[in-house]
Amino acid sequence: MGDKPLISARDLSVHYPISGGGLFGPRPVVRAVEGVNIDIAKGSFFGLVGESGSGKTTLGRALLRAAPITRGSIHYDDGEVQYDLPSLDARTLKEYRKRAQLIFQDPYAALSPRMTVRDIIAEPLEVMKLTKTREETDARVREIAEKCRLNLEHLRRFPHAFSGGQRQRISISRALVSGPQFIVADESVAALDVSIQADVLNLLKEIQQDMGLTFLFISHDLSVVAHVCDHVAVMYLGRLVETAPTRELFAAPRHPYTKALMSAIPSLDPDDRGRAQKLKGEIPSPTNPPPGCKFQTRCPYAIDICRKDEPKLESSGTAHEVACHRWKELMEDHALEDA
Amino acid sequence: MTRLLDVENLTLQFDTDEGRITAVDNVSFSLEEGEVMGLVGESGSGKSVTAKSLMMLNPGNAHYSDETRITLHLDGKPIDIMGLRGNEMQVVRGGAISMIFQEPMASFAPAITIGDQMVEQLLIHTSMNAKKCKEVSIEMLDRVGISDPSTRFKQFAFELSGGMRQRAMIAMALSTKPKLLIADEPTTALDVTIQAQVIDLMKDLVDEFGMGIVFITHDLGVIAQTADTVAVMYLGRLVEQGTVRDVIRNPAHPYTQGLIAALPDLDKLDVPLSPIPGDIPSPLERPPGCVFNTRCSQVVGPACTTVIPTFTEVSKGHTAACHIYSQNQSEGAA
Repeated sequence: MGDKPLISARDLSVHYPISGGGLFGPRPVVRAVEGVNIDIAKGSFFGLVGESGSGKTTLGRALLRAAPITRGSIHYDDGEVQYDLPSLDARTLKEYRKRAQLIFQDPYAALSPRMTVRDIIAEPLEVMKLTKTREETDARVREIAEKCRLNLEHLRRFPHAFSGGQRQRISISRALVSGPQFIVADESVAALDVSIQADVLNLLKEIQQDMGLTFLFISHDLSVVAHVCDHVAVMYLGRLVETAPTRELFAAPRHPYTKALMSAIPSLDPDDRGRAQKLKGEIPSPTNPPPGCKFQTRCPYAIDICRKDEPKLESSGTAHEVACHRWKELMEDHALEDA
Repeated sequence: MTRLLDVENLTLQFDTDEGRITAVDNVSFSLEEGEVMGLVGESGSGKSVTAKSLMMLNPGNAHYSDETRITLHLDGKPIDIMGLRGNEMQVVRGGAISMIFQEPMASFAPAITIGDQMVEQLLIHTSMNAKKCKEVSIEMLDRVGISDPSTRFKQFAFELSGGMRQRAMIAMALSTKPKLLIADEPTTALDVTIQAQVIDLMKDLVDEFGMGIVFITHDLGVIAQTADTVAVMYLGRLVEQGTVRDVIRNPAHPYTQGLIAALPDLDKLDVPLSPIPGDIPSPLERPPGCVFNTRCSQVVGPACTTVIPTFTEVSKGHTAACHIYSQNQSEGAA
């Protein structure tokens, strides 16, 4: 893995105006993503976790320039080309689309029922005019389909004939066909059955390694992220609260929210019931976020400063960064408790 | 322990444009009062259809076989659910049996307040007057951890968050004091932190109300946290039954073993994920013999593709329908 980031965002914010508010008052906005700094290393499998409403999907779309960027910079550099994403004109944006693609969550909604599998996979090639002849298109489609372990005889069929796992392999083929460098996989296995999910995860990982791609893997499922990603960022209410190499994060989570998320995963051990450190309440509305640390309304360790000042992501000289006023103190306390 | 529910030879087929498909094939199980049974399976396994059968909620194109028997034991009196007609169903639907659905937004009427919906069912199923019904409803909302219940009572489902809606759903289902609660993926649409809250709540309510629960889910972790016993379904058939400890620690059926191995485990990050090979067959193309034979890595012989395996006891109270065990048994007998 190279150290140079493929994508580097600074102070990235995405605000959506919503209806409501007084006639002369300011228009209320949803701060879906607020002041995010993120570096995604080239060739990495980068995980982004958070609950619904945390802004993870919006962040993923912003990095694809598929969400309106309110503030901040995003720099893309794959070694061949560099783009400054917020200022791309329409023509350059089209070029960027060849290099950055999205795999959707729901393989049932993402595929047109009126197109054959071959046409679905070929569409990006035709739209982006990447191939000149039909033969060339066919050859490219077959090559990608094979890579995604699709049965080539199925290319003439329509998507309704396929199971969820097969459909997701079709979606993956379509995302890969234009030869992208950067893939955003948004909850790409969430709709799949457990026995199929493992298969699609292995496929994604294999493709990423074989083709040297960079993945942003968005998921609510920490155990899935732990298995496939090499770096993880945790989001809460539009902010990154913790980011670290996967092993480090799971071995020693620093943010109380990350800890709570981990302990909320139901244990497979029937004798290990009720061990979870339960979070009270729910994620606040992004139209009206609490002052100070966004997690203070649910945090069992919140003190005065947490209610006033918003903590910034800070590191202790490593790639492990956390945005919490009390993380050091809490880590020491926990070490004491464990001892 | 008192028996609450007996399901015997439940077989259910649907007429569709593409032909008659078998959704549930000869499923039998029983439930004691106060017992939580986890019914596990993937999409298309027939777990939801099985649950709906308990209240005869399947659509008109459903055909039950003549051998199907569903008996609910209510205060020592057996009720033959298959034999109930018309208004008689009201005794079980929403009365003795309640159901919680996966998507609470879809289960509340959008234009009627939460409160009115709760009161309506109490008026139907109990002898309480409207004022008392309202009191009981608000008390139940409070009981499931909804803050400011008398305000929530007057709100519509869209005004509540996902976790709140699921709590309101649970409050509504439990307000008639059912003997049997069917929970169909009640936590699947929720975030993990909210799921943990709802699971806790359900455990408390079981302790308090002592009803039997059929808990349907695809998530073995949720099962491990809630159930006493587990039944595993695949393509319309039960393949394994036993206590939660036996089934999760020593899964006997290759399908259960595969399911557990396919789960990402936080404690084993170095072990690669092992999927069950292949896809779940279409219900129109159910494999002959054991329904799992197309994906099974432990096929023992021609019997797997020709003979439907019957349940064999692998340890006390732990049974599996797999030829690995029926073979051992016949060898032992010979």
